[in-house]
Amino acid sequence: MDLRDLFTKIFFDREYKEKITFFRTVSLFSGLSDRALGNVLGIVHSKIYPAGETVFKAGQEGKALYIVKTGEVKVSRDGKEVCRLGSGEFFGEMALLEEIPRTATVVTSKESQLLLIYKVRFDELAEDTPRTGVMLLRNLASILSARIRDLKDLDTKPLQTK
Amino acid sequence: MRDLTAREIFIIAVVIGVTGWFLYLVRDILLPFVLSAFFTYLLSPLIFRIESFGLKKIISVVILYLCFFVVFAGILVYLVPKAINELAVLRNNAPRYFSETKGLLSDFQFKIEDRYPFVKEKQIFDTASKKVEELFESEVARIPGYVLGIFSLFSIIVLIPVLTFFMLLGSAELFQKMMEAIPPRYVETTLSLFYEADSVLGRYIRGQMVETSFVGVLSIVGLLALGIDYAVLIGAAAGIANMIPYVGPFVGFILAAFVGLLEYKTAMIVIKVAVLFSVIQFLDNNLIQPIVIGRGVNLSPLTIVFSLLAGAQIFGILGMIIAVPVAGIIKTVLTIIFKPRAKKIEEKAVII
Repeated sequence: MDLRDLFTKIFFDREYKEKITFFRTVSLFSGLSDRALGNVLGIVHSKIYPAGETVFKAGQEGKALYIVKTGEVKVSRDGKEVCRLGSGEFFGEMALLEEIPRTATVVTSKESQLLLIYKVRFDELAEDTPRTGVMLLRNLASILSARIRDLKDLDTKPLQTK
Repeated sequence: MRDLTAREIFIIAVVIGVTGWFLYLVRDILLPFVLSAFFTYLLSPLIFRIESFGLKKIISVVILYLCFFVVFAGILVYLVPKAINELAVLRNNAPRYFSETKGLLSDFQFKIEDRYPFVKEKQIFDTASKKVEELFESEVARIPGYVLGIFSLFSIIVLIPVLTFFMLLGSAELFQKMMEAIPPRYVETTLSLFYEADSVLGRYIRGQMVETSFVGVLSIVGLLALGIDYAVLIGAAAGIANMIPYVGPFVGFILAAFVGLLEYKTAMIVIKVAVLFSVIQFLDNNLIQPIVIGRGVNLSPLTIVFSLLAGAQIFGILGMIIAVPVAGIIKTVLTIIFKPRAKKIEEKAVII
């Protein structure tokens, strides 16, 4: 074993590399440097949910974003399944912008490890490391704008939510 | 989640009761543990920062300890002996200072007594000065005792750093265990509440500590440069008093001006001290406060003075030390409970 390997083994966290590699697969984090991802790592919590567990229900106030690390969740609205999300996908991102009621119910369909990012901590991170904050908010904005573009019959009539 | 059965509630109550009783029995040894937990809480964000480079937790904690070691070794080697020495000198000189001050005052006394004879009859000045003298002698002599009474030297040098080291190492794991133990439906609300409190209070306490050290160190350096006696003691007092807005900065100024005047007997020293503290205040207000206090709670001077006095009334010196953080906690909780809902941007959803 050469000296550099030994040095890395003694001083650096092996799991760190794995976690960063996983973060690279999440679109919210695209374009972030390793260092920035390291900062994000500090505000992420993980929790294991058994299969069939409700993550949140529509109408509850949202305070966190969830990222699926392993497993799968089922998103449903008005009792109808909308989609299933797997590893690397995330949901509840509106909570990072506004504390508003959830618009859908999410239930795990398999045993899943979910990563949570709380709005409060996200705001702190953005304030403490503005560069990372700008990147994250920009990614979030382009994801939301892509979703708006994807909405059907967009060009036929403008949406009136009020 | 299902509701708890009566049996489970009984078991939980017994466990809480026994734990409480046990903690009461060992209350005398709890302080170092509580302080270590407090330091762990304060230092955790720094550990996260170091860890974000990909370093192992233990390496991060060791790096932090090495940094602190350099700073504290400097303080221990240079400032502590100086401060102890200053305390000893102060204790010896206190009667002399008192008599010098009394000399100045007695001229004043004669003038007053000449004009208003009843003052002399009632012996107002004599009684007052006797009382002050008693108070001064007994209080000054007791200062080192206060400090050592609260923290034994062993717990400062050995116990607290060691306990904090292990708490820093284990805190993330403990937190993860708690996270897994919280039922899924409560995870979002409970932890969000915790972090809201942490965001306000943690910033407040960390900010105060940074500010206190900044003002303290600058005052000590400045006073040493001006050649004022008791520079370390006065600087430390100025740093701590700085927690009270408006009032704090004057404490350092008045102490230093008083000592300087007794020592040099010229008005020039008062001006120098005034300039020094003005510069420190300016730097603190414009450089440090905007960075460290940020979104933290800001207690009004009135609240701070009231809580300091209330703390002193209930727990004495220790009460004064914990009064401001406790007031901060109460204000934080109230802020969170009565938090105005963030104003939502109402937009007609016409997508362009």
